Amino acid sequence: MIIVAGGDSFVYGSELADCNNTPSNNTFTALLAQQHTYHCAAYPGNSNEAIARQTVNACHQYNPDRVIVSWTFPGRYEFRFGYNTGQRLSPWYSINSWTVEQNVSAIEQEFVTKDEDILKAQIETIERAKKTGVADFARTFYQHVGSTEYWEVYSSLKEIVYLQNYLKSRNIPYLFTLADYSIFDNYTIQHRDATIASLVDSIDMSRFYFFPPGTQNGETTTPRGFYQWALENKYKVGTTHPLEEAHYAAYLLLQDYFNAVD
Amino acid sequence: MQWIKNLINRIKLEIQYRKKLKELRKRDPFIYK
Repeated sequence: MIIVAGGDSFVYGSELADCNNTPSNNTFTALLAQQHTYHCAAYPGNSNEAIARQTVNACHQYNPDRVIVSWTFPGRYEFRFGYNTGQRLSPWYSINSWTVEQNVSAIEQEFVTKDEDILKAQIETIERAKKTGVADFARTFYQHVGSTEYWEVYSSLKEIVYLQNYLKSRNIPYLFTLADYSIFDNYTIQHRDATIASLVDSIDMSRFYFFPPGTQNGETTTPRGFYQWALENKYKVGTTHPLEEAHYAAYLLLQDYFNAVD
Repeated sequence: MQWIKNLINRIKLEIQYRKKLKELRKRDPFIYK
């Protein structure tokens, strides 16, 4: 059986021991596919646009029997720039709220575990974005468009509907999960207009696996994404990514759902 | 008077932008690796 996985750095396996510029075999998605041929279409920093695009590309290339996708945080956006961005996937580039950051200490503060090499990589990437003009573009985009919740929710829902319809139209069994539940838990959806309602109503929620809500004080009481669930269950984390133990536990939770999709 | 309105709108936009960046960073602790 051929399995394609789409997602961001959690699915790529950033900071896992076997992840050295190639996708890890110890992510929850790779573990779900361990008896099968596994193609990882995820990439660190991916936005939901990038996840949908790369998953469709991988399906076109590998003709999979089953697909698993973990959607990322809304608020990242992919564009195809009109120049070389200097990144591995250039001219495609997923911008995020850190693309406009100029203060190194602000980045370091977010690290759960300090790591000088990773901090250096962050600084280099941000410097590159400044040199190429991506940072300027990102600042203008976030100032004029990306600073509204509506746009991030609308953009992400559209990508979910796009990939869902692609997979359904080709009869490819699939399961969706996510890194963070904020795509569905927000003011824009609670007070949906006709545009958002049409997207929400188009999504087959039975194809989603949500990590269970927290039960302890201070934990998320809505369903959770992998990242929320792993942090709140206090699994070991690298600078910002849950490590092998969290992936294995997630795999155990997901395996029955994944094996049952048809 | 139009220039005052424009200035106020620009300030509002800037405040909204900074607030949103802070919120996004809290939720999405992205690293390039």
